[in-house]
Amino acid sequence: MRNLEECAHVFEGLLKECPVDHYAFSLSESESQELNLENGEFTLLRTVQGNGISLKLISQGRIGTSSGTDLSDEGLQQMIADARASLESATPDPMWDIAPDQGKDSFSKGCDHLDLDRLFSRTAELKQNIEQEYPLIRLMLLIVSQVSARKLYRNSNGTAFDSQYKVYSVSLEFSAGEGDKTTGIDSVGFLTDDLSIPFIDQASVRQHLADTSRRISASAFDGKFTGTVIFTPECLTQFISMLLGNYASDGVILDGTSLWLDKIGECVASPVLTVSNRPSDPRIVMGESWTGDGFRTEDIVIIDHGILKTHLLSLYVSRKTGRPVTRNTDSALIIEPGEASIESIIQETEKGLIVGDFSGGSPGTNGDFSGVAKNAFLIENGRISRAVNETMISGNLGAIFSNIRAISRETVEDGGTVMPYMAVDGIVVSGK
Amino acid sequence: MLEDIIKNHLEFEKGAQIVVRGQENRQRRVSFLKGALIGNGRSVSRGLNARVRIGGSTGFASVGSYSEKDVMNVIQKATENAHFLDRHAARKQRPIPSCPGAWVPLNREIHDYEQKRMIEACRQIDSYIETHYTGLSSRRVVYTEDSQDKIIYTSDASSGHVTTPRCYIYVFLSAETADGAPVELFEAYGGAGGFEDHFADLNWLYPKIDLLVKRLMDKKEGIFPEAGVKTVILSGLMSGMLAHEAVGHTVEADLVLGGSVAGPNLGKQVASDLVSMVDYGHTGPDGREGSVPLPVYLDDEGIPTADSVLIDHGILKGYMNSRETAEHFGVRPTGNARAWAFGDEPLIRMRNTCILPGTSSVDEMIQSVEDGYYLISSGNGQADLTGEFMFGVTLGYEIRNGKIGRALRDTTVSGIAFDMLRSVDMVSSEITWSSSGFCGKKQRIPVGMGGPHLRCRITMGGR
Repeated sequence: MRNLEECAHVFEGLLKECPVDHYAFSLSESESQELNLENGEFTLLRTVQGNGISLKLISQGRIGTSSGTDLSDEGLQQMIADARASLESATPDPMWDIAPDQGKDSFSKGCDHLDLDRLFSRTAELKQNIEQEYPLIRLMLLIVSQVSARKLYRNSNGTAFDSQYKVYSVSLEFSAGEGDKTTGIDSVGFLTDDLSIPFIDQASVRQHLADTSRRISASAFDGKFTGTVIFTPECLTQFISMLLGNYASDGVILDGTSLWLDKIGECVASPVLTVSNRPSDPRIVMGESWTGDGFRTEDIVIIDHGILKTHLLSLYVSRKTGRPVTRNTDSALIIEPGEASIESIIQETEKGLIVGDFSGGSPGTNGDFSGVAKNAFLIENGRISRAVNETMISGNLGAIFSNIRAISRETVEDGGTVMPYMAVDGIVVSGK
Repeated sequence: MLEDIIKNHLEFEKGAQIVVRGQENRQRRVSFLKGALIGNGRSVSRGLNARVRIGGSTGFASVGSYSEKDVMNVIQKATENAHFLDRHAARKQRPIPSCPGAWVPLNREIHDYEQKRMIEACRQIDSYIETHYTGLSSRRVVYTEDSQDKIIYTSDASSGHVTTPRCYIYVFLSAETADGAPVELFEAYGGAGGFEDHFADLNWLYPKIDLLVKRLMDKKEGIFPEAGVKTVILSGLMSGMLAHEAVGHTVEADLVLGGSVAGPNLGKQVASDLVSMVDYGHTGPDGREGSVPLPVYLDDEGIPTADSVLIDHGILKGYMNSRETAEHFGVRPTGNARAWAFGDEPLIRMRNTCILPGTSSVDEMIQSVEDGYYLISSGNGQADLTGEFMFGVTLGYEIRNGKIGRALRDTTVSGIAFDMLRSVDMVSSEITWSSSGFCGKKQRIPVGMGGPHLRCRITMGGR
């Protein structure tokens, strides 16, 4: 296979002959080896060698993009032809641009080398741990992979970035079963660059296996109440992602439907909430090095003690709306922990629900949501009374983050995010 | 179209079951937001893969290039992977019987159209909306096209060259309620085939957009439904999603083996006897060739597709299988093993899943409801192994004394699939299909889903 630098050199040569104002491209090559274990048996070893090309051309306010996998000369020429075909029929808009020169830099993430035999041993150990310690668990699908990748970025302003990473990824899907009784599917996963820790002790794997085992006796409850909901770290990731998508992202700022359109510097959440996006944090295994616009990625604080510090805007939307660009397009979200233990938060809850997963539609732009509370446990008089199913929760995204009662001091680090538990008041919980 | 570079370079190891697949996926996308072109891209991915099964162990390898040399390389690497697994974790599996078959010929050519035609179509639609409707707070028009072109060779099953092109124009509209809350609606128009098949003339779209705007204006004045278990009429779009999400996934054989609710219910009454459900390959309920939205002729294990009967008059009759699970359950595979990209291995997937029509008219169904809801469109849906499901409802109306009333704001419905299907007491005589979405299960895959109107009891989420 052709050397990636050589491809970049050839591609730049071709692009410099193009009559365009700007170009930006990335080239990548990767190899992953993936072990699949289905219903308790190793069923597949998969090797995927991949290449990627992504090209953006801008000329006289017109933009064209193309992407593909063919790094041959013909493939590179086809990419240029495709992007030019897009560009030539586009409507001019002077707001399209690429980042100014960011210099040259190299980035390396993850471990020094990958070890398939060790990965296999850890996987077999996880299977054995689950069988011995969680006998009700049906391990439906376990996917572990090791990925080695390299990516180059170049643009016509002079930026030249080079990154490489080697990481392991683990993902489990399981249910619990006893006779004809079965729970719904639960899943948990993490990224890591460290095989010295058994997989069962990583992220929240044990907590998920234990919770799912307990859910074998789940039943519906009658009635409806407005009370406290405690979101698990994984469920909190769902809600914070929906919050930022609904109120702070490109689309809703561009079309003006965001309820946070003019809230920079204002209080949009409880003062106990601080949310950042920090790809360079050591707990984030494979953080972004540069953005799609070609900016060197910077760590950012999005909400600082309840105050909105920034929207999450691409260069195009920032120029279109006259707002600052965000030099970070990662999802390395970190919520700062609180002081209370999760145990004490539960003890202080008179009536509430622990929600491990939310199955609902994306909320509308007004933030109203309703959906099924999955992997849920009822709290009564300060203790977990039972697992429940067929339970719905409804509320408003903005209100959730304004009505925080407590954030736990415990956090879950899954290699991609760092999240605590979060207790919120005023959520409507409906039983059958 | 993909050129066949595979056939002259096949070397099958004795005793191994091998599938080699060359594949090209193309995507085209154009996106306008309030008249501004914000997305304009073309992508193509092309590569080769081999899947090799030795004993019970399977190796898979893929490469993102497409040359004669790559054919031998992926077979060799996949064979090494199968041997690695066999050494480390051999499975005691019965051999999977051979399914020799004929070459499945190309079903449809994929045509490429100039990007400017797609941009112009979106621009015209955007302009129509801007000119005709002033009460909107936002509008978005998106053209999407994706196609798969696959050449499949197998050592012991059928081989062939198959394609699945499709394209759609999505229209997303937003308005504000009197109290300033945004409401939205969207619809996708299009289907299998290329740009020219659907959008050479755009006039057929405008009445549909007019209806979408009217419904958005209804929704703008809408109410929140009353929460609780209610009698509802589900439209064909909603019953199709129910068929796919809440029932279909539970009868995928890999999930049955994982403990889904369908396992202990095979042969039992799981629905009203008015309910029958089939996952179709390339013929629909009327038996006509190509009468399903996304015909699939050959799966990625080399099995020519046939219908998978899932529920027959309320009785759970069967599952959807791969070759391996079909052998496990002692049935014939019907071609449900499908993969999205060249780097993906085939998984058990639905194709065109449909609840069969009944005999009632939609009008008489609505007239039969004294106090309930007519649920028309869903934005999304999810379900799990127990059949517990949740759908977002983006368009619905109340029904009072047999008449359609006020529109509903966004809400959700939920329940247990088999419980809900047991409550079905009227089924309409026509079917509505949808096919624009992707089903996600490790990989994404295009699927068709359809159904008639159903009258049933379901849990409505309120505010």
